[in-house]
Amino acid sequence: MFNGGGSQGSTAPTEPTAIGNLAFARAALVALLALAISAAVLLSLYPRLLERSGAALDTTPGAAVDARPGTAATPWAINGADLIVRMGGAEPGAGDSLHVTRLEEGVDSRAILTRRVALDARDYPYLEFDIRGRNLASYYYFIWRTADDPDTVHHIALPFSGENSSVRLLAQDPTWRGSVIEVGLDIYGELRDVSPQIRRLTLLPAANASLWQSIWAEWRAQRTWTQRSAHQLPGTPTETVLSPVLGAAAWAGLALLLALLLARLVRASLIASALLCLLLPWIALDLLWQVKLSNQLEETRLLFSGKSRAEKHLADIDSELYSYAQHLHSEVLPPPGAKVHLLNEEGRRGYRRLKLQYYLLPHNIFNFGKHPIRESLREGDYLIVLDEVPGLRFDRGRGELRWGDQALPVVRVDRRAPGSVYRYRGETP
Amino acid sequence: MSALLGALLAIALPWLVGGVWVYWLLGRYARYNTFVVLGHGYLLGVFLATAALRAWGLTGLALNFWGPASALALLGFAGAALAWRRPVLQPPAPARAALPGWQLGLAALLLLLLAWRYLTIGEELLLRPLYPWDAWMNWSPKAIVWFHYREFTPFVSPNDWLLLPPEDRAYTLGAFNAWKYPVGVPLLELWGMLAVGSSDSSLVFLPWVAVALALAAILYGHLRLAGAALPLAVLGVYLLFSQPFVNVHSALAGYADLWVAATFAAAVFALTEWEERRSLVYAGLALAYAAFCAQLKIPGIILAGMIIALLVAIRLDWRRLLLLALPALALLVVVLTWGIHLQIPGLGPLTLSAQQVTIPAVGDFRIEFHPVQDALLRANFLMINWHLLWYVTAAALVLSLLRPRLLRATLGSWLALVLCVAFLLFVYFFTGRYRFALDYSQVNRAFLYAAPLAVFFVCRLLGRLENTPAKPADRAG
Repeated sequence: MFNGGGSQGSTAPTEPTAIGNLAFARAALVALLALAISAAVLLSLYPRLLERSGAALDTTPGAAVDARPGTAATPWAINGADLIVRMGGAEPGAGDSLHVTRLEEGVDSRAILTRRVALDARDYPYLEFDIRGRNLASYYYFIWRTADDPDTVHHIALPFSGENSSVRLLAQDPTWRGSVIEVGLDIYGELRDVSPQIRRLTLLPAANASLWQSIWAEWRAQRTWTQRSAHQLPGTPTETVLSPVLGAAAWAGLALLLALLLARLVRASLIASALLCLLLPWIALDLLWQVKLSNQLEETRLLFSGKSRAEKHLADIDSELYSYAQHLHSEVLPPPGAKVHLLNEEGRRGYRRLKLQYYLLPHNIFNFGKHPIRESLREGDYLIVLDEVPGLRFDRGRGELRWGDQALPVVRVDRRAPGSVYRYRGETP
Repeated sequence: MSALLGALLAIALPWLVGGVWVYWLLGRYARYNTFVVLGHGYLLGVFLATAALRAWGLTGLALNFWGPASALALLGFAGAALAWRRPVLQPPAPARAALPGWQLGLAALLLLLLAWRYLTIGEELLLRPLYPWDAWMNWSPKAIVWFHYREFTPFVSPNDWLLLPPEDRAYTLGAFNAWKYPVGVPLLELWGMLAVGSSDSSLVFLPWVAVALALAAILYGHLRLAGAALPLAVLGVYLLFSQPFVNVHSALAGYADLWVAATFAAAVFALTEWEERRSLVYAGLALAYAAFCAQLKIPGIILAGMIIALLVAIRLDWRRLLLLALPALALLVVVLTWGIHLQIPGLGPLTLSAQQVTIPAVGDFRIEFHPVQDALLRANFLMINWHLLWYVTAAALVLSLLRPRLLRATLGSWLALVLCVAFLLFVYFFTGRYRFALDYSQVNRAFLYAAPLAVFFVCRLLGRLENTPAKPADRAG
């Protein structure tokens, strides 16, 4: 089927003596049948496997209900309008929903909405959340407190899958235990001029359908690029029920075995059937990835499309550092050539210090340590102190940078958040 | 010249020059196809462009685009003149037979998916300012400084920078050892910056998509040369370029790893022609890639050594291979028992022992076992980095061991893959790099070097598998 025969003997690849369309159609039917059976088997077996492996940990939905015979938990629905705004701003919306209108500024911009409840976590291993108007720049967490430890707020991320309604498995979180006294949402990030609508939070009892819905939501979970994206692509939230790759491999593997049997029975092409059993799950995984890439591109367009280079930097994640570097380039530092020492509390691999160094190129920068290295300084060298460095301070009266029992004669040439710039005056003889 | 035109010229010129030379060289043996010429042409052309920049720097003239570009163009004319004076041999035309509809349909579907993927990636790359960490920390700064001064300003270690007299101009970088990283990628960026006229343009990183296209052409071309039918060769391209981790290194451009992977893979694919046809041109091409690989990244130095070792090993039959294995085994016993310590003039100490490995220009590695299997399994079999690649590859390797005929037919690509994976496993299980497996910061990038080899091996194996005969009536389709 696939061997054109070009590498043995002749120097020209010849077109293959391929199987015909009918033979391929037969092989495709075998593969589709095998994939369908494989999917059916896995869909029914996996929850039982999970139940068995997880029962000992008391984290599985099956265990949760089985542990309380006689308890017939029914879904516990909380409408958006039932939530009380603890932080940020919100307004009632249609159908008992709630529109989050404002995030409260602080360390992060955030809104917190909660509701008192009285329930046993074991009865509700799943949460269905119906939230409209989310975007990739905002992060949603389901939060709760328990009677055993009311001062601690526990949380689990509610990934953005692009759909309005999703299901999250709570039982996998080891802190979703005991008597729950309050639940709610913690939202931070950016709303982007849209008031997301909280329609409903529904705590659900154990059910296979909910398990698969939660797995599907995890597989669809969307995150924007991070600085780790060029190093690893987990593809799902950190605590995932089932890896999509493992799921696809199991699906393909079982289908492959079935196809080998079926193909012999109906005299279909073994290789074509087997290959399709691998290729179709591969394409399914690939489409999941393409959706993520396309969603990421939408986000990238939103941030950068139609903007100049400078505007793009100002729209990027570290616009503050870029603005600061531009200020230093144009108003503070001399043309590139002078030696610059960048001081910062972060260690060697600190993002802020390294990114500022990049933005300051082609200035000649030594970017290590948090205190000046006195013996290497020459008169006229510049020192940039990025952010506050504990213990390092400027003595304006003496014109000195001081740390510990040391002092360095400098002129402060600029002071503007997030840093200060000094010029070394040299040691007076 | 507009920035876009400059960026396109910076890609097209090396591609054309490299293509002309590859065409002429491979034409001596009539063992090539359009895709092989196109793919190798780009990689070789980029190597030549970086060499032209270096040569220009040696003249002491200010760095610019048009000088080295003219030299490159002259080289291209020389190649074209050679081809004109001594026409190349044309490969025999493949026996044309109408492809069944399903083959065309499958190939079209896969190519459509790839087109969608790389259009998405291309737009992402062009819209976003330089993003990934190592790109702006390690690779771009040298190019930016050289672009600014129009000269190859030296980069020194942080300690040496502190001791510099005021009149000396030298730079250092924020990552402690980055100053000594090979300069291939900064040169490549500098080439783009000079053409575009800016050090802050996404256009500079378009080659990160071009190199993916070139590798796709090389993979397709070599699979076809190896006898794969069109759908299998397209399937190979799809398997490689649908992989998220391969995609992300084009979308978030600026790392060296995709270049290392492409160069190493191109060398290995060329070596299979050397293996099967004794084609000296392909052996020479592999050696050129070994040189390029060593200039791209420090692991590229090891991969270059691997290319040279493969060049020797895959031409040997089993008996000679075993004969070669005996002294190698003896050497291994010596290393593990007593160790080897040499002082290599001009390079430094070389130490190979059970406790320590020191390789000049590469580094010092204390040898200790580190249990990183969970992280490796997670990275390769659970995360979405590689789709099902390593499952399929593992199955193919097992199959090849069970059927010696298959192993013999795919020996070169098998050996390259096994050697590369063994090297990666050794690095993460036995050296201090294990921490980069545990935090996943490096391990996937390392397996990127093996991914094209895995796809190539799997496809060659598939090509060798016997098909269950279809009924004669079905063959007509």
